Amino acid sequence: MTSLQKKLNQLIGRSKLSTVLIAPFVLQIVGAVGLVGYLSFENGQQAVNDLAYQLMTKTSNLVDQHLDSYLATPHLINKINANAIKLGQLKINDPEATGRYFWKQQQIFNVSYIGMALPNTQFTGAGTWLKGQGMTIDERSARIGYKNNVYSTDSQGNRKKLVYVYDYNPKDEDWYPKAIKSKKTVWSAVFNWDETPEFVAIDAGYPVYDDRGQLLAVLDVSLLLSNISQFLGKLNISPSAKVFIIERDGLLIASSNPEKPYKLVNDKAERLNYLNSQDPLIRATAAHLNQNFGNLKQIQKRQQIEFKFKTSGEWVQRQFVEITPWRDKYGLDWLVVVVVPESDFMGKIHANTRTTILLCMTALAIAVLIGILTARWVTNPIVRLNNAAKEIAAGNLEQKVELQRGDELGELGESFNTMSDRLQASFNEMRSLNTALSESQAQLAQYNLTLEEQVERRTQELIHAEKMAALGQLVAGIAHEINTPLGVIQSAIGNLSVALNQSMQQLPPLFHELSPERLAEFFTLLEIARQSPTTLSTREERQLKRTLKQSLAASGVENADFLADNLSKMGINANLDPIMPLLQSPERKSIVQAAYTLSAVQNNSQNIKLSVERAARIVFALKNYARQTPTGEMVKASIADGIDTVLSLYHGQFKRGVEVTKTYADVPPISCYPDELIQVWANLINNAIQAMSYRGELAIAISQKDSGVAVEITDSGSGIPPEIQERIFEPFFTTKPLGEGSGLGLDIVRKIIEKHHGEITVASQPGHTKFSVWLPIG
Amino acid sequence: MANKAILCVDDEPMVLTALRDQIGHRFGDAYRYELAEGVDEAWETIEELDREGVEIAVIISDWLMPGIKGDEFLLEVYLRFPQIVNIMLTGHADKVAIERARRYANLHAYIPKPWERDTIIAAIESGLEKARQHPANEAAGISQRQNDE
Repeated sequence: MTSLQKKLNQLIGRSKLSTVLIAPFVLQIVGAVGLVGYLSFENGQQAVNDLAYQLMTKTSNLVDQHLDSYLATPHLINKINANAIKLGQLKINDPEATGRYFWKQQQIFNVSYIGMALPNTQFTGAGTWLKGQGMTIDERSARIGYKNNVYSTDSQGNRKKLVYVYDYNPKDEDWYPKAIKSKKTVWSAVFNWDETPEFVAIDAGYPVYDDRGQLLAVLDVSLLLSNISQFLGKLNISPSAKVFIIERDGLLIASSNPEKPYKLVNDKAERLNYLNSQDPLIRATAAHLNQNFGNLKQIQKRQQIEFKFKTSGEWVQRQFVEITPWRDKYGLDWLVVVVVPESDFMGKIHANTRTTILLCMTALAIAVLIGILTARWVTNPIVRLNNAAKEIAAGNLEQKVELQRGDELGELGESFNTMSDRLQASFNEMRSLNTALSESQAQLAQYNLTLEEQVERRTQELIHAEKMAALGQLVAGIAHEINTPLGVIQSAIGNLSVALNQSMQQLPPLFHELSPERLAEFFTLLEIARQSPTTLSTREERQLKRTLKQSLAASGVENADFLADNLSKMGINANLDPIMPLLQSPERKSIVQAAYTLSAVQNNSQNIKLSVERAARIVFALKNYARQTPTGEMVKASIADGIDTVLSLYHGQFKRGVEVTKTYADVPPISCYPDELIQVWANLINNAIQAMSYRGELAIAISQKDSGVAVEITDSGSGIPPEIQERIFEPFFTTKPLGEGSGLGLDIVRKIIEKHHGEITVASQPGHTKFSVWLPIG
Repeated sequence: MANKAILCVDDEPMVLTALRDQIGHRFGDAYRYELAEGVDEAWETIEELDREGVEIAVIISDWLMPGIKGDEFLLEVYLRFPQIVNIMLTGHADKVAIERARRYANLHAYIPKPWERDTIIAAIESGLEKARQHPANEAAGISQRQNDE
């Protein structure tokens, strides 16, 4: 986009809509009218040129024709008169007759003077030249002594009386010698009459010879050139147009200007050069022609030229000039000049132009008016819509625009109203929705509050549940741990009783039947049994039983199976040689059975003792645990005691599969909540045992570190994958199946440690997972 | 020796020897009495007896043992040897586990510790009696409840 377009767009963008609508309208009309005006002006000017030249040519032609006919008349008259002389009709020597003849002739032809001169200077003529006398007859003859008498005449051409006498010799005139000299029709030079210098005339002379060639007379017809001027003046070419006729030397012959083509110098008339014309236009034309052609004699054919000239009080304008040479066969060689100022035609053109401009202005005004009306008609609804829209934008939604129109704007108005209605409806809806929303929000906030409370409560419940679960697990363990020794004790008591009864029945006959050697061996057997380890595992016992059976069978002892069974139950793995005779005796079954019964007494007593110890230990741990009743206050407590309590309580769960290594440094007791710390140890140890599926190594180390106590619980389980190590302390995070773990265990641990201003970290790799707890001594 | 066996499984050896004395005194030479301190060892014994052609009539198992729990062990036993009478003897077991064992492992009796000699003897005898009466129909056998909770 060009910068011009940008500027235009900016301009349009800033303008009001009505301006934008009106401006093109007006511009179009101004453009159209201006163009039409300019073209018509141009065409007018061209037409003016054409017209001017046509007019000038026409004028020139008219002047030519007039000159042709006007200047042909004298020669015609002369010929008629010459013929009349030759025919004898005109008696040249009769002045009376010739005078009347010329007078009559004057009535027919419009010439100034008709006369005739004889070689003896006799002269007769008729013409109108003497002021106040009308047409007179002039006579110069011998009978009046060669004076020139002027007689007034009546309507019939009769002389009335002598009115004027003057001296005039025709031979002195230009035409007389010229005619004689050339012996044919001639033109005199242009001259002013002597008696009436205002008469500028030209004479046509014609010599008349007799048959012998003797000059009889010279005929003369005089033409007043002022008649030509009158003719030119009557040519109504254009208001300021000038027509003038000049000779080749620039002397004026005639002019349409009402000025005399001569001037008086000492009462003598002098011909006027056109350069000295009183008329400024003729003067200017003369100057221009002189400048343009240098010598007027060079103009041989019709010329059309233009020049610029400033007439007074007007502006410089073109002047059209046409110069037409005019000649006749008697030697006249004149130039007819027509000058037409352009303004003569342009006046109309200018008037037209003014009219055009006026029309333009009118059209423009009407266009602007129509434009404004149209724009208003178009923009008014838009403005109203705009205002309504602004009102709506300002929040006043109850806007209606009644346009009462069937066009697009009417539709727009209706659409606007519909939109406004909908907007209002929507707004109302929105408002009610908003209200509802606010209520909902308040409600939601309330719910949220309730929910938070619920979550808090539920979390507390879950923490409590976790505690209870831990406790339940503990109780289960304790129940198991207590019930097992109790069961052992109970059955051992029963067994003791049975064994004693059996011994009472078995021993007397045995003692009675056995030889002293066998009896001694029996006591040896009892002694071996008493010294045998009582803590053989079932596996070891089974192995022992197999070994015994083989060695007995190898020794050829019968009932090896039975014997091996009972001996293995007594844990006898010593050399059987000392008692071999006993085992080979026929009473071997009852002997071995009696020995077992006796050893059962011992075993069961031992079991009772061990079980009581076990139960006592559990009760002690429980007492320890129970002592940790939450007091809500920090007390000094030993960390090792807490851990041992947990280990005792959980002993039943890992006594077989888990090897516990304890590395306890001597650390001072710390300020703590012992019951909560027990929960920590219980959680960590239980996790460790579960992590290694009740089989592996559990290392517990206590040491002093900085101003606190560090506890490290390490298991040989499969480890915690790195990607979840970060998350294990998060609440509700669990790897156990759904429903089996709350996911709160380690979260509670972390919270308890934080409550103690301690730290807990984990480092794990397969086979080596270490939870490190640090607690300040406080 | 007898070709029938009673297998006792408990992680506490004192319990095992006490049981053996109790049961042995009652049934004498009619059965072989095998002891196992854990589930793994129990399976070893079961395989061994199976190889020797000894039929296991009764298994008495603890519930709370390291590693696998008693109900899971008995379920597996039932799936492989449905004719064996299953008895659970334990100091503690949760109700869900016992119910699971009753439903899926054809648990014959649950006896809490400490236990009476007569109770366990009666449980074994009733179990053996039931197995005798319905030798081919153990799977649908109605478990006899010796003691609830």
